[in-house]
Amino acid sequence: MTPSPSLYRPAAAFDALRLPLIGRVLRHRYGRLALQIPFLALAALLVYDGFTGDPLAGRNLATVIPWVHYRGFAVLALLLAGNLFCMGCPFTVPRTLAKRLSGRGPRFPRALRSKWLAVAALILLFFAYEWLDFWSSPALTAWLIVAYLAASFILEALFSESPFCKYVCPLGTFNFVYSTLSPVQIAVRDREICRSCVGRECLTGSYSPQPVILIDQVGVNGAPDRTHAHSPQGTLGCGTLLFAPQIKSNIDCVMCLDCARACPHDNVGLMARRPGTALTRADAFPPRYDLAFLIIILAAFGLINAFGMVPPVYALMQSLADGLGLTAAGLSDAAIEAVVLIAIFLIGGVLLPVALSLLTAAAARRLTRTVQRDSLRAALCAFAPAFVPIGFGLWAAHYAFHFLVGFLTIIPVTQYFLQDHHLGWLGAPNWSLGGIDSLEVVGLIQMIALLAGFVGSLLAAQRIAARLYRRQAMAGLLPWALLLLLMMMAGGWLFSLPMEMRGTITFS
Amino acid sequence: MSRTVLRRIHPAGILALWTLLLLLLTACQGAASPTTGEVSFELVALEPDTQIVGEVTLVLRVLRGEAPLAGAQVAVQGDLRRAGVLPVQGGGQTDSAGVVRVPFEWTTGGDWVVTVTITTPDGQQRAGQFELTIAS
Repeated sequence: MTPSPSLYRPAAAFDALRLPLIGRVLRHRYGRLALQIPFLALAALLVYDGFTGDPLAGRNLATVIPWVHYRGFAVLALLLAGNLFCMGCPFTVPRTLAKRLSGRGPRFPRALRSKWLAVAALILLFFAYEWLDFWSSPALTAWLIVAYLAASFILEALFSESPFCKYVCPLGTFNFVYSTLSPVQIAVRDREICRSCVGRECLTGSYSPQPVILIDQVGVNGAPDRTHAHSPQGTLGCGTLLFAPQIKSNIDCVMCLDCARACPHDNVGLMARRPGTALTRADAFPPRYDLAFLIIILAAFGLINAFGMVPPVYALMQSLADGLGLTAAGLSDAAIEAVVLIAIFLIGGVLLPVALSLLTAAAARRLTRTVQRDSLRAALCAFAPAFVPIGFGLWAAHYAFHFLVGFLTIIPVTQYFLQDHHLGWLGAPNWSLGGIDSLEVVGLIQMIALLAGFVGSLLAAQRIAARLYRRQAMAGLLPWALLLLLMMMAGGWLFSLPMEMRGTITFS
Repeated sequence: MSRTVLRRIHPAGILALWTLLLLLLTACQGAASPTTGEVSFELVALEPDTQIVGEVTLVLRVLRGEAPLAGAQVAVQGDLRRAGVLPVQGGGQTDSAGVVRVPFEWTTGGDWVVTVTITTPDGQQRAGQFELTIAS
């Protein structure tokens, strides 16, 4: 029997869920909760310190842990292990409670079931981060955590699937996109089992308020041959509505492993794969504008976000404020900054990358004489995944800077917090602990991340071009390679400038 | 020559001079180590007088009430208004004019909050802050 093309399984010899101890812990009913509870406790601690602790960002856990450590560890985990932060996400603990309380609500509105909302949420977060200076305010960071918990709880309580994770969460969206580079992916062990599966518990779950026996197979004598049960101890189905045998990339997978727990046939695994494999597969990314532009815009924001930390940003903001007549209008500095940031974000983060990628796709179609064969959307969406490595390289280079220069600051801040609460276990704060002193070393690491991302993107684009244009692959690759080169050079220029921690802007 | 001058002055004048000298000395002593009044400080100057990344000397004057406070220990910590950046520390002791010169370094551009902690000769501690925006 020929396997159905809709069922997919990556060639993998390694399944993390088969590991002796780790596999058992991960598959355990409370395996995810064991990871989430410490993160939830940490989130509570950050909220507490954010609201009650020292308002100086460098002396408060609420600003140090999210803006220095979380982001550094997140990119490292995505690259080395997978979407561990969505797996341990503390915001989904009340989500699970909301789901149990609410039962099955309506589905998320059809018009919002795309990545456009996630793109908007990401841009909103980037804007709020820059405008309100989240990095310098423990209280605002605490409010952000509270807002996350509330949004997750409300959306999960109202709708049947997990709309917060799938359609809204900016952090999850970032993790979804860049976990396509990760070395692991949910997959099934035996496709034939899925073909004959009745319950599809990986999708729908094995939870039932009352115990229910389901018949998998009826024997020749009419009696049930194979059964399995749904019960109150069962697992909720996939919140992001992924059907395990059809998963072809890590997009939308929060690695909660509920699919593996719910599968009555023990047929779902966390399989190893070559990092980035999904980027060049024809069917791994649905050919949708929302997904394609999400990837491209996120990569562009890697540049915009880093640009916000280098000295030329001041000159650009001032000239925009003058050009738009904002300074002459006598607006406050905060209002001017808001308008100028919106202009920079919309032009540099949205309009420019969208226009350039559409032009590049059009040029590739013309050069390969595939204008009649491929739509502009098909040409663009095929190459969009090639922006994942360079986007990751840009973000990794930026986050690596903050992480490397400040990873040891967690020690004095913890000492300070304990001392502030009359707990002298760790002694007086040692404020001399920072991180790597040499900015040359940090700069070298940043350049390596950027170049590795560029090479990865170039390789992915070359494979996509070979698949799409065959003999005319070079002609099809050329415009995309030039766009990627442009991004890499922009990144190289940015990271060669002194990165400063943007302070108060006074418009003259 | 000064003896000649003194001989020409009336003994009452000499007494008045001594009294004046004594009063002046008492006044100076009072200015150097006042025991009453609130301890405060002011940033007198930045040397060099630019707010850019690099080494700098903070010139601070410590006062008790209106008078300069000599012999006070001054500890300075600069924190960037951003997490994950090493604070910069420095310190020194005030001279007879209540002035202390603290070698310092703005390690990166951004908004800096400088916390000054003063320990007076009699063991009292006072702290205060000022903010500066530093450019790269």
